[in-house]
Amino acid sequence: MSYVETARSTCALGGALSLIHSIEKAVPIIHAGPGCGSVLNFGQNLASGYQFIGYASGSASPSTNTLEKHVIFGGENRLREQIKSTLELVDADLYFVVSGCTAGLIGDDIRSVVSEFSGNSETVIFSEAPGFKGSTYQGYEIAYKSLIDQVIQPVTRKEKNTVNLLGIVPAQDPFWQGNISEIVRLLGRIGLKVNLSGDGDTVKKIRKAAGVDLNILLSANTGISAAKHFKEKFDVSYIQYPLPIGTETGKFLREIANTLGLDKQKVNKVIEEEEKYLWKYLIKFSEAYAFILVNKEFGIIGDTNYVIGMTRFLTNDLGLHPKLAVVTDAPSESIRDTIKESITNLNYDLSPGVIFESDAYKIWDEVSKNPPDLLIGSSADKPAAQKLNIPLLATSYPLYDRIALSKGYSGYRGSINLVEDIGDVLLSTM
Amino acid sequence: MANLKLHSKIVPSREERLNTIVAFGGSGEELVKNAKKGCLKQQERGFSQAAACAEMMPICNSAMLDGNVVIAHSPIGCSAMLPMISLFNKLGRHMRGLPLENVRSISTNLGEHDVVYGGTQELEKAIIEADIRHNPPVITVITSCASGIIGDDVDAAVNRIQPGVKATIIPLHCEGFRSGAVATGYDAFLHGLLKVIEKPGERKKDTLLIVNPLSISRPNEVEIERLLNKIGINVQWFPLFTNISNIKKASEVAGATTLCPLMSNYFFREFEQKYDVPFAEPPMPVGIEFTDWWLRDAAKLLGKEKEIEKVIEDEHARIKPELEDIKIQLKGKKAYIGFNLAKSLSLQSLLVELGIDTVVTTGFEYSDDYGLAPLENLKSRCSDFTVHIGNFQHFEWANLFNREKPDVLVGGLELGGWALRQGIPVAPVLPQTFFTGYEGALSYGKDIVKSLKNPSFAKNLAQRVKLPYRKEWYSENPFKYIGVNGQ
Repeated sequence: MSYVETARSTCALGGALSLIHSIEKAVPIIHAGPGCGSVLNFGQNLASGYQFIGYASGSASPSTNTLEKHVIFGGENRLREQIKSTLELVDADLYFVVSGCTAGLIGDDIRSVVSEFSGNSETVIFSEAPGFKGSTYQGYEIAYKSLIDQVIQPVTRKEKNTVNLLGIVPAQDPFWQGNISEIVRLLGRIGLKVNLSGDGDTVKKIRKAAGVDLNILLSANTGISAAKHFKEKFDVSYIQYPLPIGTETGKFLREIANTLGLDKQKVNKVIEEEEKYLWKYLIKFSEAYAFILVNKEFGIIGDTNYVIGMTRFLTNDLGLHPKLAVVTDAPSESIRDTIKESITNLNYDLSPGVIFESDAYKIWDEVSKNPPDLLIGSSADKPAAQKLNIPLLATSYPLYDRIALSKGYSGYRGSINLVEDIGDVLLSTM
Repeated sequence: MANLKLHSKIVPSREERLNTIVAFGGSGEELVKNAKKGCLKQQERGFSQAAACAEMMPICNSAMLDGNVVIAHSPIGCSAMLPMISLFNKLGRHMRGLPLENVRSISTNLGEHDVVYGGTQELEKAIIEADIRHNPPVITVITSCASGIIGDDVDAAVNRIQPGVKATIIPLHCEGFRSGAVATGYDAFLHGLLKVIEKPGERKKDTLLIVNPLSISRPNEVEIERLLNKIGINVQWFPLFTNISNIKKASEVAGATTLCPLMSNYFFREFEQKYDVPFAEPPMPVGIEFTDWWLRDAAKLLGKEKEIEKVIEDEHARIKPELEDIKIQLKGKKAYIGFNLAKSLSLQSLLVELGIDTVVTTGFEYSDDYGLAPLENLKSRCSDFTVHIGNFQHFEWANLFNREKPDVLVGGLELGGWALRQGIPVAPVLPQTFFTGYEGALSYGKDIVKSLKNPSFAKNLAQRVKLPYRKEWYSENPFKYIGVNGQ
């Protein structure tokens, strides 16, 4: 892979840990060097708005802490001992062994060590997620596939109008919990039950996750291979829709309703009520809008989800001018055109320049050539934005100058948060 | 696959060089007794949790060197601490009135292709690009578990491209698997910096170089400067928040001492050998007695033993009334101290003076060099206490919190949140905290008083938190897993 200035994600191990920490009473057993668990934990917690996620997060995560002797002689005995002592000491519903670079490079046979514990009453599973396999996004997919292969059970009967949500990477999206809860709320309103939401799912729910009608992949980039694997293995089809923000949410809800054959009238009524709620607040915002936002050209530096959702909301609902969209999560070449289409197919033939770039220097080279009036990015973009006098709202990883707990930007209610936060930034930099 | 290349340029691990241990649980008395008999054993744990590795200090510290670009020759996750460092950097620069500058870092982002075919080409590209982009005075290159195991010859790559690169390139060898002791990383970092330090021109005869870790912030430096200036000693801080030309001239001082003897241990020995700079490494100047100790050792380096006595006498008299007042408010309280041992023991000395009983004191690692003298001193001044040595290991903290039920945690980022979850209020020692010297003793004493006044958050949390351990664990010996197997 190519070098990158100012990383905007952690590694595959970080992504796998994020997924594990999002599961209720799940504990990772990290088979990696001594610092991996802590570095990723300190890093991810602090850089995703200071939220400490997980049942056994950070310095509470069991870890083999492989040293030189394990690198030379192999780490399998140490892993075996660690699994055994973890089962003895830690009370969990899921014990998730996840291996990092050292184990990956020396070729420890994780599968065979873990299989020795298959007779236990506790559920012990594994994932191989060495950092060199990719970013947080890829690690999330690797670990998700382990859930599909090792936890989810075949079902004989599907539960009608039930769905799973996937694709939002915990902590990599600092506002993951708020984003998920808004979507869960809306799906509930149109009569759907969410089995796996991606936030605090129990192992019981994961086991029966194949019994749903539909998987909803809330990302244009992340989780595609997991959703495909889920379909192949358990015949659950999936629908892909990038995280909707603002009135785009209506389209999302209609598409889901169509796919599942829900009562159209009922869905339309929900959308009407939700839009009424949204616009009630945006009407109140008219004066402020006239004062601070009219004619503003905006740029977004973020992952596929935020770039698509926010560009569409700020252009189609809020009437701003899209100038630049920087997609930072390196989607594969084969899906870039589709992503670009979602970013540029906007009202009134407006469209921003779109670049796919993860390197901060190159991103800022691009921004400074044609600076917008307002930027949405990460905390790491702030110093450069300050130099160019561009107000910046940080919403993406690394996010270390804000606290992110329950807030989200998705759906109807989240879009109001986005308006308020943009307003705060513009007013405080006036 | 395990093709380990060991370079002579690599610093020895703390375990090899100082017989550092990372696993001990017992009384302070027992630790001293065993240490003096030379029978402290290297032990491991049959159950362990995520710890800190030797890569942390090089990456975090070198990221904060003025103008530096830090290149992590690693998969992208090894840079995950840098957002936190950006924050510390901002804070540190702000407190020193320095212009705000972003931490500059590049990850070589090693992927599957690189671990098979080698990553040095990407590293060379990254270094050249860093030089062009930022024109930095230095570029530090951090190695990682992955680059070490695949056998990337970082030194050879650096030597190849250095002639065409303006910046001085400093490779820092700090593969995480090489040592269970975090401080090995300090050695790797400072060993690297020694390469840019030049032969002294003229010595500044009244100046001491003082090594200061990033966790001891500006107000503490001001206090030390205040005390040393009284006897005509100037201070040159090293190695953070100073520019490279000051680092290059570090050898021009008349002597060297430290606010963290755990950090400076290797550096001083190499520094003295190479540049003939005498050094002293007393415990951290926290609390009255250890500040006296520190000042006497520092003054002695420049032959000012007599002059410093007057300062000490004046300061004692000056702070006594206020200290007594704080003491009354803290009478009978019990504390748990959670830092690296050098800091823990010095804070414990202050707590003795504030009338607080220390039930447990922790260290992330132990070595006689910085541990034995302060431990012996404390042994004579307070009732026996438990010493916990572990590279983090939360399950042992949780057991000890539950067992000892301290009134307050004196700790930092590592233990703070965990103590709150178990209902223990925290008197944090963080990069903003003032706690060294005589003024720091008063300031931090008042912090503790305040921390005890409204424990609502800790108490509320404790009612709602379920920690991941089986309930039987809390009635077990907290050190049960030490020395058991450890494959």
